[in-house]
Amino acid sequence: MQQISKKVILVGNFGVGKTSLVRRFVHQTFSDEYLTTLGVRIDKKVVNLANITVNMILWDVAGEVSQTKVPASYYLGSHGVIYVFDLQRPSSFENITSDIDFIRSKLPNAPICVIGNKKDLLSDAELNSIQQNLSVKASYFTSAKTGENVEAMFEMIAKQMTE
Amino acid sequence: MSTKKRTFLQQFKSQFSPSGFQFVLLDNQGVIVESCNSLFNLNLYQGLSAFTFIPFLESIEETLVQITTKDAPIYFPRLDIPFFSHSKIYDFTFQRFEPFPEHSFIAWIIRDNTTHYYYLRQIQQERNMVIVQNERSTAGR
Repeated sequence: MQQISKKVILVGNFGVGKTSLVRRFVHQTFSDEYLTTLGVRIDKKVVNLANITVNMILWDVAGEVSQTKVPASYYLGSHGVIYVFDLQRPSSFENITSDIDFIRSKLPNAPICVIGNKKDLLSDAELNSIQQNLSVKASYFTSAKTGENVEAMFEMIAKQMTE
Repeated sequence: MSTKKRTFLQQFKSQFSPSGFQFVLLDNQGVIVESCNSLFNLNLYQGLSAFTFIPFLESIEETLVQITTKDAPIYFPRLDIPFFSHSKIYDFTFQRFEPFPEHSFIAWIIRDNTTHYYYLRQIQQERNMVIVQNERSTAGR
């Protein structure tokens, strides 16, 4: 089976759960304790798709209020982007349109997956309300705590990067 | 030692202050050609492609092999990665080093900035937690 390496960066505001999503996906663990990421952490997971094996190298980038503050070098050579926001914190998605536009300018050909995390903390009604008011369509609502939609989300971006 | 007798890496390294730095030369396949081993010993890995066993390098292979001598060095600050069993925070810089036209290397400069960054992380942690708690308490009113 063909094997390829793909670099994926996780970006978004601080405290939205980027590191927790990576830990859930790569190590199947979760902790409620918040530990800030400084700069970037790198992790790797092999994802087997139908006809191809993808070595996903995940760059868990320190959260910033605006993505323009992320060092430009972090974007270099990225094949995919996961933009994470916290469904409970409106401030984490108020700049979503400008952030996505900025990322698109840096990586015009990379798929961008928009993720609302911490789904477990919201009711269905609250989730619907947020969904309707979002300026950008979210690809998934996830919970790093329960693991809901985490595997599916990473698999989706793996597929998009190989298309 | 005269310049003539110096290895390529020694020539390159002499341009910098060596404290807290490690200098490595890779060929375009990522093979470790030479390392000064100031921070960690890469002797066991000499002759192997670093692109195959260091995920960070694997993820930016396409970028690294395309660096030319005309390009500005590429700087990756604050890399919090377990690296050869060392859990530290490094800054990496990459640039093309071409002592002769037939000898072209990817020069990899590793700087250990752990002490400085641990301090910054502590400040960032406290700042972020206060902001998040304030947002949550405002939203809960």
